[in-house]
Amino acid sequence: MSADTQTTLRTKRKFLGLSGFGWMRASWFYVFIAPWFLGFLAFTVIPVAVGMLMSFTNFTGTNFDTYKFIGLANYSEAFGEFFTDGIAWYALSRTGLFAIVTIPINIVLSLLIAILLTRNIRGKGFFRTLFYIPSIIPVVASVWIWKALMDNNYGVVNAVLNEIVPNTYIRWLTEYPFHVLVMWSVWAGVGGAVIIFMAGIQGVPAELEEAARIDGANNFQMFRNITAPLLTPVIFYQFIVGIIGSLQILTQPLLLAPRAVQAGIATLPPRENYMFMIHIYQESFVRQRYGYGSSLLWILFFFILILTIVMTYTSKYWVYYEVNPEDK
Amino acid sequence: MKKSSSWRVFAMVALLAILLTACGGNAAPTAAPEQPAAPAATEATAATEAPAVAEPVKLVVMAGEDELSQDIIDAYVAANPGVTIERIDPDATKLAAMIVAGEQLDVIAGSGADTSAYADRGWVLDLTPYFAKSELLKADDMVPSVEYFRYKGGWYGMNKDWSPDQSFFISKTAAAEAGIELPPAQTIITWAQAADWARKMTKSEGGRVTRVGMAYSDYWDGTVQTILMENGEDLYSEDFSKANIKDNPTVVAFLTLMAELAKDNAIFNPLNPSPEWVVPDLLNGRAASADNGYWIQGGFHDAENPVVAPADYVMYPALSWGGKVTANPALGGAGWFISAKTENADAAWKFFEYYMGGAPALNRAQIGWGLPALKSLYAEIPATEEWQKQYIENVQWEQANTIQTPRRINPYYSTGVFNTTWQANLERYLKGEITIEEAIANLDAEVNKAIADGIAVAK
Repeated sequence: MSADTQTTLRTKRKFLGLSGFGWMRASWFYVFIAPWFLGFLAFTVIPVAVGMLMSFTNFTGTNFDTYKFIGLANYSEAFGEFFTDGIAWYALSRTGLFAIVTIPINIVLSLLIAILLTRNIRGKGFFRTLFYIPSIIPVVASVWIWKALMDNNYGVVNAVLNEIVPNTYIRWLTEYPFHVLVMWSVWAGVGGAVIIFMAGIQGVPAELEEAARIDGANNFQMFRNITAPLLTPVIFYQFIVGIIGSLQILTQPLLLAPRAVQAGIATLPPRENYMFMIHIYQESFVRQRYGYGSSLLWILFFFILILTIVMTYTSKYWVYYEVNPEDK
Repeated sequence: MKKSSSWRVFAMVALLAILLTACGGNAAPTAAPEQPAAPAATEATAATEAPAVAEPVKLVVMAGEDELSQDIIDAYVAANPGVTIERIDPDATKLAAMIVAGEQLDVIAGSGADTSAYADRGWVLDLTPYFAKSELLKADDMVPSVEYFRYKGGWYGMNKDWSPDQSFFISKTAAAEAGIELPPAQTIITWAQAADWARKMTKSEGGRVTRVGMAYSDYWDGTVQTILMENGEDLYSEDFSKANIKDNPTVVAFLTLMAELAKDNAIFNPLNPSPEWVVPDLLNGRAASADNGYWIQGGFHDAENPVVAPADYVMYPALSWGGKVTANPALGGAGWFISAKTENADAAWKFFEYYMGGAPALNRAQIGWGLPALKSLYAEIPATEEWQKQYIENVQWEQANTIQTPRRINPYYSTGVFNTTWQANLERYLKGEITIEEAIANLDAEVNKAIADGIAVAK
């Protein structure tokens, strides 16, 4: 075999920087990721792209053959609602209030419980299980439990209150629906957050605590100067997850609506619980404005994205990292 | 060796792609669905009158299981060798997608209110020639609500049952407790009179309303339309491009009256909603009166251990606004269409005809959940109890003496918008956030915006 032939073969074998063996390995890689990748394409990328396209149309859910592209009209209408104090703005403001109320309560409460449950207390295994149980109950079931507790006429809470103060009658689900939603959210959300905080607390190096104790630090000083700073990445995570979850809340206020079963698709929760996703649901399914509903969804997406970017950017001022996150 | 590996890689990728495509695709079944065993023949489900179909044919029917039971399908299939029926659940978006994609769909369950939209899009078949030839479904045997299925000279379907939807039921006991002397049956009662009675019959205990005076059925747009019918008016302009709400004194007066009743908790309302619906509300004594249709008869008939006996309720004609005449048509009509894209039109019609005029129709009439769409089946309506006989007498009186003309259905928006918008604004009014004038103005604005959006889409 001549030197020229050998050079040609070597060149062929090194096509695009990969030898024949490299190509085979790469092929196997693609074979193994193919099931997930095709699923990701079919069930995520394509639906998201269709959703984006839909937001530029007047699609009603049934006019497949006659829908039209209407440019940015849906977005223009949505922003018009925001700037004229319309219903979309009201819904977004209620959602914001829900996030502002529930996230701090969830974080503070779950942190306190996690601190308690990492101490040497009797029956802590039982309490850990007890606090986590609400997290494993399906959302629909847990909302129904709360509905049974808070029902205006047949609720357990009103019945108990009546025993204590006769003739007490509070319309929880219609006059205080926001309070009920917040209570549910804390009840259902604390368990999961407690587990994460407990993992964080147990990850605090014991030698740091021992050193502080030798230096005469009390419990509060140790928490303030050691535990809390080391838990800031966990708190940051809870904030991000809490914001995303709160802004996307839909099922819970719908199910808590007093006539959720009878009204079916036209279920309208009390005005205090008219969240942004409820508005999108109403526009899409009751008013059959799928195009407009899609534009609202994209606005919500970018709103969450911007909030997350801002939170991530500001995290360098208050979140403790053992390594500099900007170092690559 | 390397060449062989490459082929294996290619073959595996191809195989995976084929498998995933097959999983994701909406593959039509290649074999006919397994035929269930024929049920024991009963008078109600026997399908012997349906003629045998020689050619094997599969019908795809979009209808809820509650209206097209497996028993009905089994009976029809057993009596018609070669016919198979696949039932799929109703879904408006799926319906549109199937029709546009050209997938097989033969019979479609839907509301008469959908007729104009379906006909304009060319989705449903004009059944006029079939009705003209039918021995079972004759035009002169049909009730007025079948009109909901006629549009621009075409006849696209038929309702399976109907009722005058706003007859008035009142408890004799509750009325007597409140010192109300009830007028004789078939007397026209006004809304003002009923509102006064509702306030008197409402009971509270410790701040809790234990009985509302009236369980209003929440047919807000329908009630407004029927009230306006009394004077030959309508909620919508001639071309449906506008709803006249805030500038129509009758509509304003009606909505104000109902808002005041809600404020007094004399009707269920967004702050004090019904825990269930009208039948259990009446039978459990949570409501003293109700506006509803003959549908109540079915619920009453099946009642077990009611707190208030069905015999305690008197059925009156629909409430009147002016007091001289009242309108009480069916506000819609649950029925069937045949797809314009069907390739089995004759077979679909045979099944349609069987369902609407055969054993299933007879069965529905005998149960008495609603009135039959064929007058010839009226003799089958349950009438063993005195209260059942009184209800039938009232229905017949209303058919003869009240306006039964179907209301005009606006094709440009869903009436769900009217109802949800009003409920939302009524809640704000009851919480003291807005005045009743603002609530009505908001309703007017939202409904007209929805209509304008619908017109823009239709253009």
